[in-house]
Amino acid sequence: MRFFACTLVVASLLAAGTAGQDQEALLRRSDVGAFVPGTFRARLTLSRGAEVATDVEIWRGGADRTLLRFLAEKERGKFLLRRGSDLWLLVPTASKPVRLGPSHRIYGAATIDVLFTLRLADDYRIESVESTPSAEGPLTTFELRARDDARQYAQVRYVVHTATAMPVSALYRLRSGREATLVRFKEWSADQRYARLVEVVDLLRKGAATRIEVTAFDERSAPDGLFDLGDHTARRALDHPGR
Amino acid sequence: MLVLVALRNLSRNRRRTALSVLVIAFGTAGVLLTLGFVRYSFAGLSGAIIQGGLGHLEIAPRADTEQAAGLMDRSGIPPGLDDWRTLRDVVEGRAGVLAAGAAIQFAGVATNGDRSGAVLGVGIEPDRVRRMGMTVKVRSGNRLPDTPPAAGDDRVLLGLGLARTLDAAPGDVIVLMGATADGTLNALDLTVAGVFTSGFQDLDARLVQVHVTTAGRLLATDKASSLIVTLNDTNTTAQVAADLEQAVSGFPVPLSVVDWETRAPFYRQVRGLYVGVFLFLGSIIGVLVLLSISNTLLMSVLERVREFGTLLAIGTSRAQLAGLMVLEALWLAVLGSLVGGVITLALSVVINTLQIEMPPPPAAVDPITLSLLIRPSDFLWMALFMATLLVLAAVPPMLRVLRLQVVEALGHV
Amino acid sequence: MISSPLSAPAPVVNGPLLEAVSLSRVYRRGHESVEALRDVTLSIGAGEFVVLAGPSGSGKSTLLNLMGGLDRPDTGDVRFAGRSIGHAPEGERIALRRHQLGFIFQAFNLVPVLSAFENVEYGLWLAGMPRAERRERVERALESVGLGGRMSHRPDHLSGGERQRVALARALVHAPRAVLADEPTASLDSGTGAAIVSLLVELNRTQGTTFLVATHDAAIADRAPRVVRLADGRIIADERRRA
Repeated sequence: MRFFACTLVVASLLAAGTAGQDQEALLRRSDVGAFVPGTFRARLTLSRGAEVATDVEIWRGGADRTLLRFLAEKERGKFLLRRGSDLWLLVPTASKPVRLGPSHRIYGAATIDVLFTLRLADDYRIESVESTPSAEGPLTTFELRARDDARQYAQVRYVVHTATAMPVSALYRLRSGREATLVRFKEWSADQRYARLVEVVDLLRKGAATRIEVTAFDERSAPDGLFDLGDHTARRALDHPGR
Repeated sequence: MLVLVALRNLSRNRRRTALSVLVIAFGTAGVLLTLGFVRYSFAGLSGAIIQGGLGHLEIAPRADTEQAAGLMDRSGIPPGLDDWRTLRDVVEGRAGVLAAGAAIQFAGVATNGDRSGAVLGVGIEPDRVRRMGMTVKVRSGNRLPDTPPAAGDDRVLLGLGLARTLDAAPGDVIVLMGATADGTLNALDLTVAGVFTSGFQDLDARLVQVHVTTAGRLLATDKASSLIVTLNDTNTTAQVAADLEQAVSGFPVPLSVVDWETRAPFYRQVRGLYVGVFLFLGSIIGVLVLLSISNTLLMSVLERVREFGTLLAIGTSRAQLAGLMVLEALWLAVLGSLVGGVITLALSVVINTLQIEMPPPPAAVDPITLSLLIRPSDFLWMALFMATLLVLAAVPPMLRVLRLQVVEALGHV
Repeated sequence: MISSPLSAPAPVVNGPLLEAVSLSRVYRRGHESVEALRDVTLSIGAGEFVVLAGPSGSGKSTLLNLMGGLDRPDTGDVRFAGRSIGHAPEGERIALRRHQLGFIFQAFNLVPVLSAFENVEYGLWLAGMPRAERRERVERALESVGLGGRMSHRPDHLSGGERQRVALARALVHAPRAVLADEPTASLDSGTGAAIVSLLVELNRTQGTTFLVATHDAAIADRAPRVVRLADGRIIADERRRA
């Protein structure tokens, strides 16, 4: 009898541990930031309602280096550069870069963070998991809490398709618990490595939504010069190739 | 004849009359001097508000003013005044208008690379601002040049507190970042032309002034937030506003013409406070004068009971006796007001000549000079006020006289 | 003989000029009450010179005050030229005193801030007389009492006798039908008092002005054609002397 009880306890623990490992595994498999290549170039079209869309180009040179280049004619020469936790604005009319807050929205509600840099499985831990049915099959909802208290988004509610591990949505909350940004993953690339069509809703500003469409994507290395704060040569070359 | 009797009655007890006259005189002087100071403060405050950048009137798209009446509140609203040069020319051609100039409001961040600070900026037309008498106090460096700056040669005036935050001095280059009219970010290198003070510490910590061309360059727009209008005479504000409403009614964008008081509600609050304090002080002075003179007149009546009995006996009516009391009070008012007027004049000349410096008001930067603004009509009104007050003071002695029994009065010792 | 300022003798009146009819007057002081007059009846004809004599407290001043309309009786009535004035409204009694009566007081009761001229003029001003006419009458009145050269002097610069002359001029200047005098010589020395008495008698004789004089001065009583004696608020004697 005692042996049976012990066996039962051990089996439960094993089962719980296994379930926990399954949840971690699911999170890792569905982590939207985990499958994006370390270095790439992408072109995005951002639009908001009836407003004219704006095009940007993203260069990623590793986990903590991202360059956003504005492609609109009147915005030529402007860049947003993320290096580690710092975000800088570079414009031709200013000789020095201007540091921005990390939560700065490049257009409407979009932030670089929620698009490309967050690694949910690494940066967050699971607080709770819930399964719910849906028309497209069962969904798993993760309630995640940032491992680092300094993170801008302290909590995330991450919803994924349980069977396919494809992300459905991510709701980002601030430290105060206030919901800040909702990301809906609409379409995926053919190889399912990145979300091709995303809708980002700014919950802090009366729910203004930005549609982000990835119009081009290629995995390639990004020249280091693109991320140099003081040297603009590589960046200028993007606007004037061949010079 | 009673007028003569009343005047001569004042000489019965010269010391008492002199004291009463002095009470009234100093009461008069106290009220007039306070009024002069309050009026000077109002003039100074309204002048500071108008000359400080608000101007007498502001013309802006109605849609914008419906969101925010105050100019500073509209820094988050993209400029919406198209073809402002044409509008300016129309406005400057109207009677009563001294000058008009475009203003572009914006908010942003200024940085020297290491330090940064949030700013509230305004793009101005320096030559017109000067014509309107709205130039700021430049503490170091120079004002903005009149001519529109070429690209790359943009200048900025920094508020004193902001200059300290950025550790910036004339000649230094800072970067100013703001949002363009369509919401994207932009930044400009600006050379610090000078450092100024608005007179208010809180504003100095955030204010920047640039040429309207620079602001347009930063915000990627050729529109203005509004047109600031100054007039030849502040007292004509309402009339000119009505005239301008008519003149701009045909403009493609519906415009509103807003006066400075509406845009500076704190002026009304301060004015209300000052008026309240003035009335309170005036009431105290009035009560003191009333009680003092009433007592004096009553004493005078008690000393003349037999005389009043005689006057009644020989055919003077009670109304005439009451009138005599009033006349005595009025004579005191006249004399006291005259002496008070002289004291007021003398003191005001001395005070205005001495240019005494008072400490800066809360949140202000510079000390203010103690000065008085007294008008000739003030003396007249004050005399009327004192006359009214003293007629009231005459009521208790009047009642005493009206109740006199002739026979008892005749036998009074 | 001292010339009188009055232009003509007082007109003859049918019936008494002044009448007291069953007059009583009680003065109350707190809980105490004093019967100053008890049921007094007296008739005074036009042109008479009547002295009210009696010791202090006999009621002579009270009777004088009631007959002059300065006080109201508790019972009984006072009539002037047949018209009831005892209980008349104050306005009527004031008008009577202003136009028909003159008063002389023991303490002269001049207005100290007015000159002799102005003191005499005052009553004419009350009566609404024009300035020019006032001036003429006042000058004649003061000259008639021997003060033509002292018109501009204030009472404090006049002797007792001069002040009483001014008071006399004031009482007579408006040609009253009757003059009521209360102890007119009490504040004067005997010589001056006698002169005043002579003046009163002369004016009565030449002008026919009715005089009612309350006094305990025997010198006046001796020269009066009629003396009414009072004691304890009652008339005890009414003596007429032959002219």
